Amino acid sequence: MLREITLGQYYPVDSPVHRLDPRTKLFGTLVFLISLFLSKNIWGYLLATVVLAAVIRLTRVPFRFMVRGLKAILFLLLISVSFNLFLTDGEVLFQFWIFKITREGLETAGFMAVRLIYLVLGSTIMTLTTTPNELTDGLEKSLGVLNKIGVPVHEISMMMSIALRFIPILVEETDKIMKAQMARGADFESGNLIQKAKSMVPLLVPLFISAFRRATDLAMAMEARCYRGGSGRTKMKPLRYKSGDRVAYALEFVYLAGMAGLRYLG
Amino acid sequence: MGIIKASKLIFDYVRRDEEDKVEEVNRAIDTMDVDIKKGDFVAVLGHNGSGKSTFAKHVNGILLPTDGTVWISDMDTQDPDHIWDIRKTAGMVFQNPDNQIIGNVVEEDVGFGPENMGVPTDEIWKRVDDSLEAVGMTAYRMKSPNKLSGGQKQRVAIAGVMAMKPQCIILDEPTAMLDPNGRKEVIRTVRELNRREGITVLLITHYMEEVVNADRVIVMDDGKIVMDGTPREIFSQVDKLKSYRLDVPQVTELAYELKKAGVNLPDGILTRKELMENLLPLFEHRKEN
Repeated sequence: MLREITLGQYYPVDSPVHRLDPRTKLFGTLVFLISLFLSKNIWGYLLATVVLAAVIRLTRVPFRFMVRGLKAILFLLLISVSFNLFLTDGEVLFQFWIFKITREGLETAGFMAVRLIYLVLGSTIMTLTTTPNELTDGLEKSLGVLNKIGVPVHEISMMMSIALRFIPILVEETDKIMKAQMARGADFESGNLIQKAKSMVPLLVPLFISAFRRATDLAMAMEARCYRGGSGRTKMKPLRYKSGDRVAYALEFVYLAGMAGLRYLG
Repeated sequence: MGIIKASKLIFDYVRRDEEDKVEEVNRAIDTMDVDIKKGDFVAVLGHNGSGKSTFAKHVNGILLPTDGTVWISDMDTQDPDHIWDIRKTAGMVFQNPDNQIIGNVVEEDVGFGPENMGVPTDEIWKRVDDSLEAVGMTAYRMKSPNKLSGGQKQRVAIAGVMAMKPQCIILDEPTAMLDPNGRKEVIRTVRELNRREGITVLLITHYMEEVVNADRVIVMDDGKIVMDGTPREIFSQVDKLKSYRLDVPQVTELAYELKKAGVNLPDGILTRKELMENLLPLFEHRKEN
């Protein structure tokens, strides 16, 4: 299942969205997330859908890459939808045995599902069009103020970017160890939850050992390449706002205003 | 004085117990003296535990001598003021290609070293372009390192070191985790850098085929230098090499066995071509009789 997560998997094409400054995209993602919680009626969701579709179109990333990220939240989605669907009181539309579906329930469940899906899609667009390094650079720069109160912003963003780089490697490794253990008769599938958890031990121990070994190697490699923290460092890709970013910011504000306005419609 | 010089170098791996008392001392390098000329391609051979990797880590100050001194272009590695200059001068490529790539995109990884050194942005881009070109990875510059083969990853790692404009590259078993094709790819790249850019190369390895084109071969055993010379001088002493648990290249071994069986061949044949050139006249000779 871990393989399916597209989070942190940059899709390298050249598009207007790819070229935007990561700070613009971070702000845009934030605006989009807020707007989803602002909208209360169908018009708000309609606008969000149109904007989302337009942005997806602009990114030139195949749609199936976006959808892939959704698989990870499928379970969560199912639970929240069914809770809303069956447990909301109101005008009963349909009933059998102890289950009843109400009009209000249908509405909230629908909105909830759309909201969750859009949340994931919105943040997936961000990670598909921004290299993790740009992303952490953007965070580092946006959160730079925190440096003054002693938060090691550079170090945190470096850790994030390294974590992102090693996720696929560790996933692959987990797979390898799992297969090696299965070849020697390990059983990861059967038994109850506790037995399953126990069977993970022979998987996790070698995985942790190898992760620590990798960390030591990587630290050595970084030192060998003169890494000594954030001070005195220059950037290969320094963040600079371009004309496209001004347009994007303007559009983001227009969108936010539109969503806020639609909240009071109908 | 050469670019890399070690004098009476000793290094102990010390294992301590919980109370910080010395439990075990393992002497990895035992009084080693070496002087490496600028622009040379030097290979260091030795089986596992011979101290060759430990020596490599001394050359750019990752490990510091227990006793003795290492100089990199006249800078003492134990001098903390010079440590970053030393790491700029002597770049290092490690064994595992995955564990030394920091960037999530090839070009960003190559730029990591210059970024740390505080090189201005325009210059970083120029260096990244040049280094990727030098290792032949320009076509992959926008790719994720995870999508590359082992040999390609190692070439990216070499480009990352090249971008720091070192005078010398140390490669610590760069091919140990690669398949034969990747191995050839990496060695070819290193050799070209040595020839075209005049970079001093210190190649640590235990694959004999990789060292036949070196200018100088150093054989280490048990923390000491036991043989030192041109590949031809080294590989003509097959018995001695075997006593250090090292194999000779297949061609050399064949020539050696033939010679032992009474065929008239010179010592230290290194390539297939050489062997052919020496064998064919013998056949002609036989036909004439």
